[in-house]
Amino acid sequence: MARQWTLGQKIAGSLALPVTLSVAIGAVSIYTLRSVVASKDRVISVNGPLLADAERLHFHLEQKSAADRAFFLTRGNEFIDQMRAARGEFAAVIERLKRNVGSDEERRLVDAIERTEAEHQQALDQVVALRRTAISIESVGRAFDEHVLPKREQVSASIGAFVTREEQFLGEARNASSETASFAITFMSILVAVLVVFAILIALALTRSLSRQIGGAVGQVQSSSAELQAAANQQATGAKEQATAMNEITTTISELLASSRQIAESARQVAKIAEQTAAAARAGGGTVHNAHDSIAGIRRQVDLVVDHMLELGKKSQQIGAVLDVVSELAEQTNILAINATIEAAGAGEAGKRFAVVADEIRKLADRVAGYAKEIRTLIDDVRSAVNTTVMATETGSKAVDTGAAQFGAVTSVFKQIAGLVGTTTEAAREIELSTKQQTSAVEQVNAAVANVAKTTKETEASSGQTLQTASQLATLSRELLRLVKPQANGATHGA
Amino acid sequence: MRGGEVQFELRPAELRLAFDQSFAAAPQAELLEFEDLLAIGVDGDHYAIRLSEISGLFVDKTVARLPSPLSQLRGIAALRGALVPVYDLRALLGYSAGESPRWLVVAARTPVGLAFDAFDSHLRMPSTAIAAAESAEHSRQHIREVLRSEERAWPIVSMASLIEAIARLARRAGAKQEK
Repeated sequence: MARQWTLGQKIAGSLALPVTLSVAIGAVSIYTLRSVVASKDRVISVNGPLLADAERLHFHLEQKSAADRAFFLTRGNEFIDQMRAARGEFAAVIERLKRNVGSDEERRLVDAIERTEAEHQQALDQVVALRRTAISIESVGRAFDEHVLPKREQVSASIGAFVTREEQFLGEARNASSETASFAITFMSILVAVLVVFAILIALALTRSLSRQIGGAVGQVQSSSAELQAAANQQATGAKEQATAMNEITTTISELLASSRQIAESARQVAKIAEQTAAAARAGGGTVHNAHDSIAGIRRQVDLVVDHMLELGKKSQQIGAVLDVVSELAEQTNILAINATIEAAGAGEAGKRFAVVADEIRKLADRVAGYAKEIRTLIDDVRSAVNTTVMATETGSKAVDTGAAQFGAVTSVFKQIAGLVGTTTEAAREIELSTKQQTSAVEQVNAAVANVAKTTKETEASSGQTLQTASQLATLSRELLRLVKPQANGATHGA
Repeated sequence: MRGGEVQFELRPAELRLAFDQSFAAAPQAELLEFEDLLAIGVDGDHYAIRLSEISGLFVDKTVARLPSPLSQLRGIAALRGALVPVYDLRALLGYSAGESPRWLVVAARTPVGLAFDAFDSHLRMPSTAIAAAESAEHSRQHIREVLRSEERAWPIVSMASLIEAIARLARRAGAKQEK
């Protein structure tokens, strides 16, 4: 069963071999470079200084030669000192060369230089001694040419042999270093080539594996991003609808809050008015009670008025009866006067004077009858007025009775009103309290709804961000898929 | 009401003055040419009767009914010690029958009573106020003259005509009974 490698493991595994090879290359390179460096160091630190010291030997030898020539020319002792100083420097270089040379051949060459220089110095000392004598310069010159110059040539030859040998060693060391470097370059080139081959193979394998694995994952990511985009769309739509609904709810709650406050204010006004009404009802009850007492007094006065009016009616009836008698008397008197007139007319001339009396009597009877009629009219008016008054008074009495009864009912009703108003006041206060609590609750709900609306807006924004992210993810997944599977991406686009 | 009281307060003095003057002044000649009449009412209409044609005026007299074929005869009454037949003036004037009349007068020359509904007043009018009735004014029977004043006109019931009519009715009734 093949082991399922993770992406990291694959990448790590893919990088492990190149890294190993790189380490090997590095190790070889370091080793080679160290060898080259060692060769170089050896050339620089050994052969180079030896050559330099050989050149210094030439230099000091030339200084010594220049100083002895100057002595020969001037016979100045300072030149002898210069010559000794140069010879001291020469000796110091010889001593350093003896310490630094590594081979017997070089040591032998150095000994030859030292020996030839000693011989040169010996010859030179002899010539110097000659110069100090009174021998001519030409003799000294000849002695110098014969004894000193050959020695100097020997010294220069031994130094040249040493230089030649050192240059030979230097060439050998350079060649060895070059060979080492060439070997290292060749080996490293081989390793690099192997590393490149392995890297290409690993890259191909890794590319195929990762393309397969990442392509599948990216496909899933693309599918998921599409689903996420759809979900984000739905969520954004839902969030917008929810935001709209929350706005409407907020508006409604604001209106409800205003209504609640108005109801509370109205309830407070109702309670206040109810208290005023209760006070008015109590005052009205007292007023009605006083009015009831006043009506009882009116009732007694009305009874008295009725009694007096009835008495007046009786008196009027009596006056009417008397007036009937008077009218009857007047009528009879009139009849008598008329009959007397008739009789007087029948009595002839003697009756004329009686006729005058009878006529006066008749006139009086007429007047009495007329006054009786007027009195009758007045009596009738009085009786009618009395009757009307009695009826009105009785009606008023009944109205008073009814009013008294109604006042009792009104008093009871006022008490009932006061009780009901008290109940109304209590109810209005309860309504006010409840409405205030409701207002507080609505305010809390409003605050909560505001928070929810804010959250909804944030959700809406987050949904939009999610949608944007999903879109970007979808685009990114397509880009990634196009990167890892161009043909698949082309197929997807084609589909 | 206040004016009425003042009026009543002034009337006694006026009455006393008029009463005294009636006896203080001499009878005026022109006033002697007058006619005394009785203003009466029959079924709501106004009529007049010459005082010289009656012998007496009576009221509320008991009229005893008699069995008679004359519907105009209301009965007989005892007046001043004599029995007098009483006829219904309303029926004689052609009105329909009504309630029993209170008033009655007795004719001067013939003891016959005429009952009527109402007695209004005694009228003393100048003779010039009486004129013959026009054709339109005596649509009723027994009306030959009319008494006129500025206010009203009273048809004068002719007692002579009434007595003649009653006599005719009586004779006719007697003749029927004899048959």
